[in-house]
Amino acid sequence: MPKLTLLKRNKPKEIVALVRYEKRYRMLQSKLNRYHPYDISEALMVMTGEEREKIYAQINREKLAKVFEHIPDEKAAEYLLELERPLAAKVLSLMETDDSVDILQHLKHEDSTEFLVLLEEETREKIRRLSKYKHQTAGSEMNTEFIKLHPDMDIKEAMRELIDKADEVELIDTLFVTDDDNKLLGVIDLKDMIVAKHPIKVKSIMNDNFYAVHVLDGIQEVVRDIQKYDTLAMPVLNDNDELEGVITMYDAMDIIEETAHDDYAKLAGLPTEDDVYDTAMQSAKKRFPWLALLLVLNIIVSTVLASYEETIAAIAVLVLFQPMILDMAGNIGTQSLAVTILRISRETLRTRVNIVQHLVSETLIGMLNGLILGTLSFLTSWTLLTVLRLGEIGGDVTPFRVAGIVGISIFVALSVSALLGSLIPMILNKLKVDPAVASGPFITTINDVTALMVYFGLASAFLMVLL
Amino acid sequence: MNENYEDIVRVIKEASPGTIQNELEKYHPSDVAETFDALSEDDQMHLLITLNHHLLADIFAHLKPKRVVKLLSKMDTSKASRVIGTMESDDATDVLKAVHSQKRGEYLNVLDDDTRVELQKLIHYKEETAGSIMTTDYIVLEKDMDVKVAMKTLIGNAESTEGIQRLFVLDDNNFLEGVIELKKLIQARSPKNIESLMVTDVITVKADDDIEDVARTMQNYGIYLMPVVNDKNQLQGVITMDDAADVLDMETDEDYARFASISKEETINRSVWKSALHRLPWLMLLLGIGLIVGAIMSTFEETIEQVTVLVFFLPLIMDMGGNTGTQSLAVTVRGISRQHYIDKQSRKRHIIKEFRVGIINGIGIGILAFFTSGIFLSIMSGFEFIEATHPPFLVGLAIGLSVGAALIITTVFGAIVPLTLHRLNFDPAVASGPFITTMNDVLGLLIYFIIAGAIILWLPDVLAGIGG
Repeated sequence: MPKLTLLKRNKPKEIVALVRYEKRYRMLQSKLNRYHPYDISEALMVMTGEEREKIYAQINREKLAKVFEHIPDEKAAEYLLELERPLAAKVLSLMETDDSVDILQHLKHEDSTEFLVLLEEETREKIRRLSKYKHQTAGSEMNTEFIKLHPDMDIKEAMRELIDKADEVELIDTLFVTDDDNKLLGVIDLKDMIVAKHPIKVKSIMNDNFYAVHVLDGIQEVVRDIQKYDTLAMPVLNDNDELEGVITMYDAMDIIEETAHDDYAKLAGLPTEDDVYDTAMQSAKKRFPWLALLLVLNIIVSTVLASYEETIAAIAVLVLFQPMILDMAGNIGTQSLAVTILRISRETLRTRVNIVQHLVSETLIGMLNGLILGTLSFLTSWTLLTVLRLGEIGGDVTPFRVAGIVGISIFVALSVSALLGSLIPMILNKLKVDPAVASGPFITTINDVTALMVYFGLASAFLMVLL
Repeated sequence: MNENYEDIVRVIKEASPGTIQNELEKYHPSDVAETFDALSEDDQMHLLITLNHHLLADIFAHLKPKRVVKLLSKMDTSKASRVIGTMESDDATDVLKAVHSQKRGEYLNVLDDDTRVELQKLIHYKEETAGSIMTTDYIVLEKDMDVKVAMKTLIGNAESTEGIQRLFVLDDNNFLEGVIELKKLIQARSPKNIESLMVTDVITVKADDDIEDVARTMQNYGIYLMPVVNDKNQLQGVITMDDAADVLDMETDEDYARFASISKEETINRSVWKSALHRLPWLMLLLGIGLIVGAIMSTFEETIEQVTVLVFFLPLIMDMGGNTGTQSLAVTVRGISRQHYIDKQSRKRHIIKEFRVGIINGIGIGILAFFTSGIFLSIMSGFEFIEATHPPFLVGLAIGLSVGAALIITTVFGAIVPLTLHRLNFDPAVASGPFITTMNDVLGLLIYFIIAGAIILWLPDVLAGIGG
C-alpha cells in the first residue's frame, strides 16, 4: 500500500517542527528532502532567521533555487540576503530567469549590483535581456529554457536532444523548431514525436500553423490566449519572429492568481505585496500611509460640514441620517470602483466606445438604485420620525420635509457616486497612475464630500426658502 | 472576435462539402467554435451535416453546454451520441447534465458499454467537486512492466489521451501504486522496470473535494495531471491543468466580486438592469443599518447639541474605522482562501498580529488626528469661520483618542469576524461586509460620543477640580 498524502496534512507545519526538534543532522537532511519545494517555501516564511539558516544548510542548491521560486518576490529578496553571497548568486543563477529578475528588482541597487558581478557571464546576459521588458508584458514573465530542434534533424536525433534537455525544462509537451537564425518555424507536439518512426525529418511532423505571442504583448491577453486555446506552452517571439521564450500553462495559473490578488488589494486600499507573512510592524507600516492619507483628506470633509454649521444647528435631526447616506454612497462608489478596476486590469476597457459605454451603464445603475433606495429611505425615515418621534421636530421642520430631503439626497448622491467610482480610476489609469495608489482614500473622500454637499446643501436651500 | 474569423467564414461559405472538413481542421477548434456561434442557422445546419463527429466534438468542447444541447437536438440521434462519445469525458458529462433526462437516455443507449458506464458514473458528481471536472482518459502502466513495454503502451495510447505528462501505475484492482513523470520514462533505458522509476509518495485528491482547493493544490505544487482517487485509493480519473486554470480564474473572480458586494456575473457581462438588481440587496441592508445607527445617535442628542463641533468629525471616525476594518478583512479573507489558517494556533497568531497592527496604527493615527483636528479647529475659529465653544486641542484630544480606539477595535474585528464565519461554514467574503459595517458604525459611534463627550464636557471640570 503506497503512502497516501492527503490535502489536509499541514506540511509546512511539519517542516517547522522538524527543524525545531530534529537534532540529528542526517535525519533532518533526509526528511527535509522528501518535501516539495512549495512546502519548504511556506515553512520558511513562518520561521525565525536562525531556523531558516538550518534549512539553507540542509538542502542542495538546486532545491533551494526551486524553494526561492515559490516565495513572493519581496520576501525572497529579504531571504536572499541571509545567504552567503556566493551561494546566493548560485541560487539566483539556478532559478528560472524571470524569477531571478523579479527578485533582483526588489533588492537595493548596491545589493543587486553585487550579486550581478558574482554571476556567470551567461546568466548575467540572460538576466539583462529579460530585465529590459516592462512589468506585465509577455517578455517579463517568460521562461527562457525550452527545447529547440532543427527542421532537418532526423527524428532519432531529435529524440536524443529531447532526452538530454528534458531535465532543464519545465514542460516537454511542446518542442520548438527553429532555423539557423532562431526563427520559429513550427511546433511539435510530443505525442506526434513519440509516435513517429525513424527515418523521418523533424520538419515533416511539425505543425507550422501555431499560436505565438509577442514579447511586448500584455500578459493578461497572453493568459487569455493560453486558456482559450488550451496551450501548454505558448511561444514568445520578438520583432523578427525569433523565439525568445515560452509561457506555460503553469505560469498562466500563477498570473491568474497574482492578478486576482492585485485587484483585491487595490480595492481594499492595501499595497499589492503579500501581507500574510509580514510581522505586525511590517504590516502596520504598509497600511499606515493609506490611513494617514485618508485622515488628512478628511479635513476637507470636516471643512464642508463646518460650513453648514448653521443649517446643522437649525435642523439637528439631519445629523441622524448622515451616516446612512455616507455609507450607501460610499458603498455604491466601491461597487463601481471594483467593477472598473477589474475591467482595467483585464484590459477590457480599451476603445473609446467601451469606456463611454461603461461610464453610462455605471451611472444608470447608480440612478436606478438611487431611485429605489431614495424612495425607500424617504418612506422609512418619514415613518421613523413620525412614529418614534426621533429628534426635535417642530415648526416648519416637519417629518415629511426632513424625509424628503433625505430621499432626494440619496438619489442624487448615489447617482453621482456611481459615476465617480468608475470615472476616477479611469482618469488615474489614463494619467499612468496605478488606480490602486489613489482609489481607496480619494474615492472615499470625494464620495463623502459630494454626499454631504448634496445633503446639507439641499437642507440649506430649504431653510432659505422658509426664512 | 479572433483574427481568423473572416478566413473561417470564407471557408465555410466557399469550400465544397468534400474539402470543408480538411480546411477547418487547420484552425483551432476554439476559433471555429467562436465563428460557428455567429453563423446563420442554415450555415450551422450545413456544418452539422457535413463535418465528421471528431471535428464536431472538438468544436463543441468550446461551446457552452446549453448551446451544444440545442445543436445536438438538430442532428440525428446516432450522430449526436457519437459526438458525445468522442468528446473528453468531462466535457461530455457537462453536456449530458444539460440534456433533458429522457433524451439523455436515448443518447446513452447508442454509446458503447464502456463509455456509457463511465459517463453515467461521472454525471453523478456534484458541481464544484473534483469529480465533475475530471476526465477518465489517462495512461495506465503496471509496476512490473519493462520501460520498453511501457513506452509501447504510451505510444499506443498517446493520441487518444489528453494529458500524458504523468503516467499512472495501477494494480489489478485499480489501486494507485505510483506515478511516473513522462520525462523520467523517456530518459530511462531498457532493461529497467517501472517500479524502480515510479514515485509512491503521490499527492492525490478525492472525487468530492472542492474544485477550488484542488486547483490551488495543482498550482502550488505545479502538478499538470492530478490523480483523483476514492476512499480505497482506487484511481477514478485525472484533472488536467487547463481545467484547473479555468477553475482558478472563475473562483478568484467570484471571491473578488463577493468582497466588493457585486455579483460574479458582473465581472463578465453587463446589463444595467441585472447589475443594478444584483447590487441592490446589500445597499438595502445598509439602509437598514443606517436607520439603526440613526436611532442610536438620537440618544446622544444632548451631547450633539452641546458640542456641535463633534458632528464635523463624524465622517472621519466612520471612514477610518471602515477603512482599517476593510484592510484586515481583505488580508484575512485572502488568507482563508489560500488555506493559511487551518489550525487553532495559526488563527490565534493571526488575530494577535492584527491586534498589534491595530495598536500600532491606532496610536500613530490617533496622534496624527489629535494634531490635525486641533490645528484645523484653531484655524477655523481663528478666522471666526466657526464658533469656538470649546478649546481646539481639547476637542483634538477627544478626536485623537476615539479614532485610535475605534481603529484598534475594527482592525481586530476585521480579522475575527471572517475567521468565525468560516468556522461556522459561512462564506466569509459574503457575510463579513454587513457584520463589519454594522460593528464599525455602531461601535465607532458609541466610542466616539462616549469618549469625546466625556472628555469635552467633563475633563475641564475635573482638571479645574484638581487644580483648585
